[in-house]
Amino acid sequence: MQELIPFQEQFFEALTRQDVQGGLTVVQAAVDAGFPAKAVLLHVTIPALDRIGLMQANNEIALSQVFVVARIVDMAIERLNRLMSFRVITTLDERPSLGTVILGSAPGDYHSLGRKIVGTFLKLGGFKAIDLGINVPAARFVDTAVREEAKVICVSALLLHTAEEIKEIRALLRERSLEAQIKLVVGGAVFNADPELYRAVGADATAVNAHSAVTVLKQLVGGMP
Amino acid sequence: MNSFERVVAVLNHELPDCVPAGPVMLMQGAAELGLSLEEYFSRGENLAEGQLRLWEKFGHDLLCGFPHVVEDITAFGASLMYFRNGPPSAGEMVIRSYDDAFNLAIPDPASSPVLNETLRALHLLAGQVKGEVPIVGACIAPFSLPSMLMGTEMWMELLFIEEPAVRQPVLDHLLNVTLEFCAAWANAQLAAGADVVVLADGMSSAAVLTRPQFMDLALPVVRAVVRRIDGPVLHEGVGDIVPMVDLLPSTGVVGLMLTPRDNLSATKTLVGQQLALIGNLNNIEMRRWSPADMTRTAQSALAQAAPGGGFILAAQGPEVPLGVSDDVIHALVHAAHAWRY
Ligand code: B12
Repeated sequence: MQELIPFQEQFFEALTRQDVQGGLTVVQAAVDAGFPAKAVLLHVTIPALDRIGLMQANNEIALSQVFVVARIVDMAIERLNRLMSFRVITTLDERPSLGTVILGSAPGDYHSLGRKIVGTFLKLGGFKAIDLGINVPAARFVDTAVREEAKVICVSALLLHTAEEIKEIRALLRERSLEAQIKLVVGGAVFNADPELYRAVGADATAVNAHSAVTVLKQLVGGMP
Repeated sequence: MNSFERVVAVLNHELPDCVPAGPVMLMQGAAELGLSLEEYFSRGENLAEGQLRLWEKFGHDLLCGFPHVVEDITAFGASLMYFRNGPPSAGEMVIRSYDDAFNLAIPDPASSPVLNETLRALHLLAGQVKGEVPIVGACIAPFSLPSMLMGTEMWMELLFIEEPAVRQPVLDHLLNVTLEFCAAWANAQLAAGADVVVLADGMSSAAVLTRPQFMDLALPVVRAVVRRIDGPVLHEGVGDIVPMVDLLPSTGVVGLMLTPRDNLSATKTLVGQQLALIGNLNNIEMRRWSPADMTRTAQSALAQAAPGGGFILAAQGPEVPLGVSDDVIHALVHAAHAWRY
């Protein structure tokens, strides 16, 4: 979709300027120019967000910028979704969905910004992400994963004592012999402060930001890069 | 020199006898007294006694006369949630709409029973150790307090997404309320016995704001509140602060608490003799350090920031978590005190 590259460039620029209206105008202009909503999502919104993700990975942007970008992207997706036949994004390209992921904040943890951003990236990365919100009890993570046939449970924790609660999820997976089919991935500021901590709480993997969360999950569920 | 003289020397840019050690221990006192965290945090007597026992045990150079800064929100009518093994947090958000924000009144710190316990702790500590060891008070900084009253999402929505015509009146009112409250609360703590006040400003670091946003939004508020506080103020950005650190001396703060992501040598070069630096050992990793790991890491921090004075060796904010062994805390204190001038 070469023709969409200029739109992608403009959308990316609007994101870096944190220009909500500008971003939405670019998306609308691409649709008005006759491109299908799905193509706009695939070739304008997602690559631009990817580039922002890389900047975040390199510590080039602040939380305020990530916050506004996530909002612009959410609004753009909502508009494009309305133009498409399906409401919830599961897969965005011709490949089948990469699978279901259960996402939530650890028991006792009320931080939600990072988790929501991870959710947006996972959806755009091709996963069906079910977000259970803040302060999710260990059993609810596991029960929902079983019911939804999820391949991964993703837990966000920013505090040490809530990170410790993740051990309970590992214990439940073990008790119910689910360890082979359900992987446990964790993230949040506290895991970035201590790169060893994820192992101590019984997780299979961690990722330092939303962008690498997608890479890590792809590797974990399908050996994909 | 006693601990008080040592820290005062650092804040005045004079050479102390050795580097002061300032591990912030907010929860450890509970175990010393055999109390739950909730019992410990809820009574001024307990807080003071816990701090004194810790001082006896570790011989460090700063005592904290406050439970955990989140208590500030109780003055606005919010409740607290206590945990078995971690810091308390806000029970609910008291601001649920811009209208709520616009109607928020400036509370009197003394109206909160919880804050009175902090004043009681400070008063008791001052009665026992004033002039021997510095007593630290703390407040949530005015620019960050809204995120604890309305939630960070609503706060960022207001700051970065809202139409200017809607944003400005709400923002002006809200920051006026938090600024007035913070100044009154800091001054009440100083009057009760605190020697220095920490402004915990979790929303104003490079982790959250760009430099232009910091200059535009946060810096004027820091400057205004520091002017109103009748004692020395330390700034804790809670995220990396180096990208804006050159702007802070102009605010009137006397020292900065740094994170492990802030490079000590670079910060020292940027602010030189203008600000004391406090930090910046990784408090999360610390739980699995041996005393030898602590000594090694502390010595590397000291080598960067101690020469010429102006440095207090500490963990990064907010505190040394539970699970860090006594031996490791002893090693921190020894490393600091072994650096003689
Ligand atoms: C905003 C904030 C809050 C807000 C949260 C609002 C909300 N709706 O989220 C409020 C005000 C409610 C809050 C409360 C508290 N907070 Co707070 N908070 C912060 C702050 C300033 C920013 C956090 C944030 O949103 N970061 C931005 C996001 C994008 O980053 P992130 O969450 O790390 O997520 C990224 C990655 O980590 C990763 N990721 C995140 N989750 C996941 C999950 C998976 C599976 C993967 C793979 C990756 C991944 O991807 C994300 C995007 O790139 C930090 C300080 C800071 N500067 O970081 C403190 C901080 C996290 N809070 C802290 C504390 C202590 C508290 C309180 C206990 C304070 C108190 N006494 O009330 C309470 C606890 C409440 C509770 N029980 O949860 C401490 C934690 C210290 C520690 N670890 O020991 C911090 C570090 C501040 C500090 N130094 O004092 N907080």
